[in-house]
Amino acid sequence: MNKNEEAMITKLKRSTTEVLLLSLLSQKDMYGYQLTAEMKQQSNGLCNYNETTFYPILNRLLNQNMISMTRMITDQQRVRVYYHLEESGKEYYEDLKRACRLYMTTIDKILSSTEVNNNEPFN
Amino acid sequence: MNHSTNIRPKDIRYYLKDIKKQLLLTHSRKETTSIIEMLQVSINEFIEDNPTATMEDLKTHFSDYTSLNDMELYNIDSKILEEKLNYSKTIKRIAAVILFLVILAFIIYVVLYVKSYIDVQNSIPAYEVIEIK
Repeated sequence: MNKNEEAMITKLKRSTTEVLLLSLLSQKDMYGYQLTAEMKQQSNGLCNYNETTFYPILNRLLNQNMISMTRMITDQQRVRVYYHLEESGKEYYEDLKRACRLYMTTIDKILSSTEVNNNEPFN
Repeated sequence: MNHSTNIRPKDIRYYLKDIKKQLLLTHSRKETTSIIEMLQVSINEFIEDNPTATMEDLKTHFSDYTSLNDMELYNIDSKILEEKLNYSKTIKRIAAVILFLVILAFIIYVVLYVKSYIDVQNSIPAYEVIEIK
């Protein structure tokens, strides 16, 4: 990936962090480190976030009661804080997902049309 | 929490302090405290999972505060950002007014002090005429 591509990915990452987080939590309850790891794995390394960037978003979603937080003790006697997507969060996620899809489809349409136009021979 | 690793609690405190400074630019004190608490829990989880990790590993995983700020400024609601900027302007205005009043009070105090000094000086007789009968 060249520098221009990396810069574009970074810009896209910034605006899609919230919907991606909600998407992960819609799959199952997860803790902080797991969210980062899952994000990286499911995106084949493209969405490689630093964990700290999640917390301001998670905190806002907590305050809006979109998600909840539960402390659990693992088999190894470790305390894990799991984040859970609440019903209101699921509705919110569906709205964001619809908007995202609509926007991405539109972008794809525009980008594809320019490719077609570029391939057309001059009259 | 086991800190017998390469990461010293003091380093974590400094790291969190840096993060806190950046968060305070875009979040209220209450929100910042809450985010820092969440981060602290996660750092503990990270250290437990990676006992040989160094401070550099921790920073790589959790990000440094500059990239956090970069991300946050983009993610923050524009209305909130506007409120923060307005609040900052109001604070600056209040500080300017207070500074002006303090300087004014100081000038008045100095003027009055000098005036009273001159009055005292004038009230002291330069000489006294003693009439000998």
